[in-house]
Amino acid sequence: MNIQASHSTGVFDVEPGRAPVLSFQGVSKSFSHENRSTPAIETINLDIARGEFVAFLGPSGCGKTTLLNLAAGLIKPDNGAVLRDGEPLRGPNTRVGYLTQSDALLPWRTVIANVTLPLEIRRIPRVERQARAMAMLERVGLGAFARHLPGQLSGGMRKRAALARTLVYDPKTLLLDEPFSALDAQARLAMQRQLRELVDELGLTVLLVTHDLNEAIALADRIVVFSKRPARVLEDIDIRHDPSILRQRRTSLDGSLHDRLWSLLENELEAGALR
Amino acid sequence: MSAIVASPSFHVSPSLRLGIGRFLLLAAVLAVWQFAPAYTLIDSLISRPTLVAERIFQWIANGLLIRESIATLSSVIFGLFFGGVAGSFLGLVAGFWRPVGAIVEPWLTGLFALPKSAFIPLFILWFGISGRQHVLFVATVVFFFFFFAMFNGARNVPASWRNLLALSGANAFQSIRILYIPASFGWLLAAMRLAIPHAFVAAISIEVIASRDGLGHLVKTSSAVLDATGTVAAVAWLVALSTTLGATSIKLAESARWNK
Repeated sequence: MNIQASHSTGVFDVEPGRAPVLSFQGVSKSFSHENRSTPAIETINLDIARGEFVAFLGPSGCGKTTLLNLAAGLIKPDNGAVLRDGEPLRGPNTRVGYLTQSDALLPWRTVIANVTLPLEIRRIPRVERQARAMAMLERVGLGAFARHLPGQLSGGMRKRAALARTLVYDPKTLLLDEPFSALDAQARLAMQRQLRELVDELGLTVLLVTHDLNEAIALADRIVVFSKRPARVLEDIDIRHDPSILRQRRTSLDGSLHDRLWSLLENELEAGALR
Repeated sequence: MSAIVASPSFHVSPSLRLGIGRFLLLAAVLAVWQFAPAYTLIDSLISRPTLVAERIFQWIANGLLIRESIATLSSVIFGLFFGGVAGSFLGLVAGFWRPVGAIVEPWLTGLFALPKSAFIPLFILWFGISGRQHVLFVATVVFFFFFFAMFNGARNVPASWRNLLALSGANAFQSIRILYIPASFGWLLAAMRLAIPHAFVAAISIEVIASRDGLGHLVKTSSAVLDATGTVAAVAWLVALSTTLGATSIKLAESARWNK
């Protein structure tokens, strides 16, 4: 098995001289709890090229979220460095959009006031931020619900409102932490399709954390498989994106990919259980 | 004659029924109070509702009750204002900057537990018996309710909301204005519910101990001459005032709740 972390330059990196959007260089991170230090991730080396859609796949609680938090600049690595466009990241990464399982909509603000929030903080004039937020809400199909409070929306609609808020300030990189796991199967499929369309349209770079194989295969161009905690890179697989992959999931190619990924995860789960 | 025609119904709405129930309870208590003392020896000790009502009208007519109410209400309102502003502000600071909170929280918890009325003599020694000193005392008492409300409100802001603001590049003032203050609103409302009656108790206690005016002063002068009617009249008026102020301000605050 390929234990050694592999460096991928990424299939979409059309300008070889250009620095990767995000680069994890020998990054480790431990968390201490009651005087005991537990390593979450260990010596991760990964480059994310511009325009790549990368899925981080691994067993639950393996430290994938820690990687995203590092990329977002919400936490600092113990060792190594996280580079953004070739520069070490200091403080919160304001160039990324971060969408987690929790939609984090502020319940006292209307949907549109939630979407304008990132623009308000960036001191965009009121008229412009209203227009941009409205355009983004229309795009995710929530135009008619702009004046509603989040509490009046369904889970899927709240998620779309959160997506609109994440995209409204034109981040070039999206960090997604199991964003659709709380949705029912149909809403999830619809959101996945909408996400993929938006990503292609806006030319975004995406880091998607998931433990759902099908989601990874359906959406990503590249899948990085992590071991159980502390997370190490087990496999780094480029799968070319096919726009019709949602329909193609049943083909033999996907089937074999699915089997291969599944056996990797299964090994990790068994190793964890025997511990 | 059609069977569909509804028979005359005496349907009473639930809220009206509740109101009637409450009124009947009050009426029953007042009736017992009015008529029972005649058969006992405590007649002159607890007065009667009719005498109390008569006294209240008399006091309103000669302006005494209005004058004393204004004195007490100004202590209460200014005390609530200054204590509320100071408590909310410091609570927010301590809740927002965790290290500050970790330093001051145990000390304030200790001070909160102190019976403040035990310090009234010292307050008088320090600040005299002016109205200003009443405001200060009320402010000291209510300070803690607002401090702990904002402190807990700020500390309980979910990480997902904090991350959202951080990744938008919000500075401390933006975070406080956009997130921390509105997120603590429910806590502030709870603090107000507690602080308003406590403000009245504080104002009255200090007026009873050292004052030349206010409803507490009226209670004291009445009871000092064994005037049960006067004492009960002053206390009844006080309860009405405190309840009205409490209910009105809570209503006002709640109506503002989701407007921003």
